[in-house]
Amino acid sequence: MPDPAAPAVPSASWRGHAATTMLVLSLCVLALLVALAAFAPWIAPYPPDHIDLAARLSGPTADHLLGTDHLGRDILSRLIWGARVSLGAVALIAVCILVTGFAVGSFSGWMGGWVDSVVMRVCEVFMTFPTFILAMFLVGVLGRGITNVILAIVLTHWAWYARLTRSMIISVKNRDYILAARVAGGGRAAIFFRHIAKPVLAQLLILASLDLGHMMLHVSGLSFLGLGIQAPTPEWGVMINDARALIWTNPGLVVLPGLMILLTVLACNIPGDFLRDRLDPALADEGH
Amino acid sequence: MSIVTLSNVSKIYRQGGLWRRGRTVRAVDGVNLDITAGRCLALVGASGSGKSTLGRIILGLERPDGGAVAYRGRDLWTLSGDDAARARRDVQVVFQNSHGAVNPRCSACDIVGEPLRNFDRLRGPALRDRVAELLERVGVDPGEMDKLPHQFSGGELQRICLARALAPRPGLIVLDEAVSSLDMLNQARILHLLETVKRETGTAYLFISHDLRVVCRLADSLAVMEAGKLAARVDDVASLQPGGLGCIPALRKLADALLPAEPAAGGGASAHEHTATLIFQI
Repeated sequence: MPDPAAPAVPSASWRGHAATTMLVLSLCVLALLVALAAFAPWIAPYPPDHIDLAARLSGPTADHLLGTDHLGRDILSRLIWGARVSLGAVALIAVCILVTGFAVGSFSGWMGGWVDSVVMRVCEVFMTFPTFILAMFLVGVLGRGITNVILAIVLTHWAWYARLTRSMIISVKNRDYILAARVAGGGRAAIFFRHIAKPVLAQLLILASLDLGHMMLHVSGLSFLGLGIQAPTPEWGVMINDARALIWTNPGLVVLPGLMILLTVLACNIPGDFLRDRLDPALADEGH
Repeated sequence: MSIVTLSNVSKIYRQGGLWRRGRTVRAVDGVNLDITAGRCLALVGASGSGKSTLGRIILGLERPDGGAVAYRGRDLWTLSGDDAARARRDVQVVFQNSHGAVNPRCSACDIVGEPLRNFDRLRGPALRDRVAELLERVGVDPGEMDKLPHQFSGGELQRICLARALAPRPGLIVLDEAVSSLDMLNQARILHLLETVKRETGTAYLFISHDLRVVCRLADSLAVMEAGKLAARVDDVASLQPGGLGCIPALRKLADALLPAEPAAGGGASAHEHTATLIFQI
């Protein structure tokens, strides 16, 4: 029976419901983006570099649903192909950072002693530089191009993951339950994977999913500055850079790729938040 | 028959880091101890006296810097293969802080099942049946075996830890302050359970504690540690007269440190007599 004196604020279950809706929505968006990236050649109406000077800078028409840019290239097609480049680069970066950070961090934390000290000093060197400036420097030294952008972002980010991994491993490795697992007959490798690596990897995945947006902005940002992915390649940051001069006459050319970046960043962050709440076993119950 | 024999065992910890030479601490210093099958040996002492380190040495978790640890007559650290595995499963442990002694992400079934998976290679329904049997043994509802640690109370979780220790059917369980962080009622219940288990399975205990009141209830014999050395031993606790424990100098400090459970009646009794009566009230 409903209580008439109940306050008119949204209940916890309502908030839980809204959060679930947002989660489902963002996962759908993410799935859609991945599908666009995977099936770009079949979905996109035109090749991304198909130039039609006769139809340049046209507004939305039946032929070009989102219009064309200054070279008459179809915006919709370029956005779809851009998903492939941007998402692909970000996925590759995330995997490289996770693998490097986890490997270095767990080695350092597990060994301890002087090995740990040396590895941490190296990490600190990488962490001293602002990531974007170090990335720009590396691209400047190594040359432009997608490979170097990926390398630069991995080099500037792995240390944070290594540091986090190392501190979690140190906090876990001397717990009583690790001793109890040894007494229960577990081998070193089994204990590492069962009791140490699993929770650490869960935390790293959360950090990575919250960081995906950040990495995407790095890729697009470096491309926008002309240091990363080069002009004919359909990438969202490159598209914004190309259309800079036309921002007042054809704002769609800047806004649409910007929206794609925003959408991707949001779609990555919301599941990240959700994972963070879920993977803490003590917090997981409080939602119900 | 003795399960573990320590002869002249020492353990030294070095403090300090990479650059500076730290001081050394003799946590355990020349200890001789014999743990007999089926009996409960209590190891008491103030905090920092090396009790827990000695417990870890007996468990084989720490290698002593000097002396020898013999497991059923053979050197523990030269055992290999099946012999090492047998020694491993024969000496189990229950820690003080039950929440710290279990992985917060593992269900009760995973926790109790871990030694069964490792030692007996049990899987699936056979594993769950054996876990249910063990949980029932320690007084936890087997229907709750899929719950996570934070859903249990401290007392229940300590029972689950005891079930894990009992799982490989050990000859010796090291109880490292196993009831110290529980309230009086749960302490009494767990002690009762430990008594029953000991009577029915003949498991020996090394009962590490700083609380003389709980020790006397369970222990057959007693060893007192002070600054890493064995300061005194009592081979037959039951034969002691009331007040007898207070007469051992090494125990006096510990006895005096106890808070009275209720205000002393009469007021005529000296502090020692008072603690001695406290000890035997339980």
